[in-house]
Amino acid sequence: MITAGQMLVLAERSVVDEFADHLGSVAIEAFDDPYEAFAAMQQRVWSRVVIAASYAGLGGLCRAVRRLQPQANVLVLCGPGRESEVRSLADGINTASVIDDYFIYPLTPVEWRNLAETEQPAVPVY
Amino acid sequence: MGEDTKLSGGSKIIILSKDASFARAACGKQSSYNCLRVTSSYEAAAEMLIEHSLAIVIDLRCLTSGDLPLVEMARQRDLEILAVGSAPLGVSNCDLSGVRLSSRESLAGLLTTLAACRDQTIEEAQPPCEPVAVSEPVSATGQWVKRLPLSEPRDVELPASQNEPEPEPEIAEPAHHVRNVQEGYRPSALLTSEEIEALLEDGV
Repeated sequence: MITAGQMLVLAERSVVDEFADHLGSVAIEAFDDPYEAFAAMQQRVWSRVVIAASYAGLGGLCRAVRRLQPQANVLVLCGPGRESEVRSLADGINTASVIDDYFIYPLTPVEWRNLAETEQPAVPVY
Repeated sequence: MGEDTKLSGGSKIIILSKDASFARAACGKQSSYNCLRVTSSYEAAAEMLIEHSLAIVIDLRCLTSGDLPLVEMARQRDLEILAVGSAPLGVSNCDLSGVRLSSRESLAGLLTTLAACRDQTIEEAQPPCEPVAVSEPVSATGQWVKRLPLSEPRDVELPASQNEPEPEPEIAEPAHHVRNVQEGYRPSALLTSEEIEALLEDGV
């Protein structure tokens, strides 16, 4: 299971609150501002980075996260409407895949459990 | 991530533009610096954090008010910030304080100058590799004199005025200067409280 300081969540407050409810507030380090999150990523290695798809320029944001955290498991949370865009980041069309996986929001209990796992990659939701 | 326009050369210059020809124009034919083009401000910020860069060039067509933290970050890291174009909607001139506006044509020359200045600074900071040759001592009249070995006693008698160290002339410094030295530079320390009160009474 994910432990304290292993997961960085870059999302708006409501999503972060939901993460805290399911995973515990000590398990995650949450940021609303991408630039503040970058500063935290520069400081240390994270096992998992979760990005909400609500940010403008999602592709660039994911590439920046991948550049700063090459070893991290980078996941995106998105609504059904943005699945094709996010899938292209995961599939890596014409380029290396930028993210490892994505989840359609809201998450099911099984997906929350998968998200909390650090050793195994999360189950993709297609 | 971004694309390397040049792979050899000196420090990295981040170019934020969605236009590949813009980056090519910025890099010119010089090889004294590396250009890395990125298409989003997030990537530019990541590049800035990963490795020290010489400068960032921003194509103002792709800057929005949401990207202003990038400009602030560059300022904090003492990067040279160059921008081409006009300030987009939602971005004021004040937001671009410290940003050097340039034309697309003059960008390559400006970057070359920056890289040259960087190289010069590095050279000046490094100690000389070989000892500097010391010339023979010259007398006060400009004639060459024989250099004596260090072990030999030197019988040269100097005039009395040169034997004794001269007392340093006492220069009375103005009182406000002394206060500046002691307290650091503080405008409020330039005047005494009595002087400030006198000025306030005069309605200044």
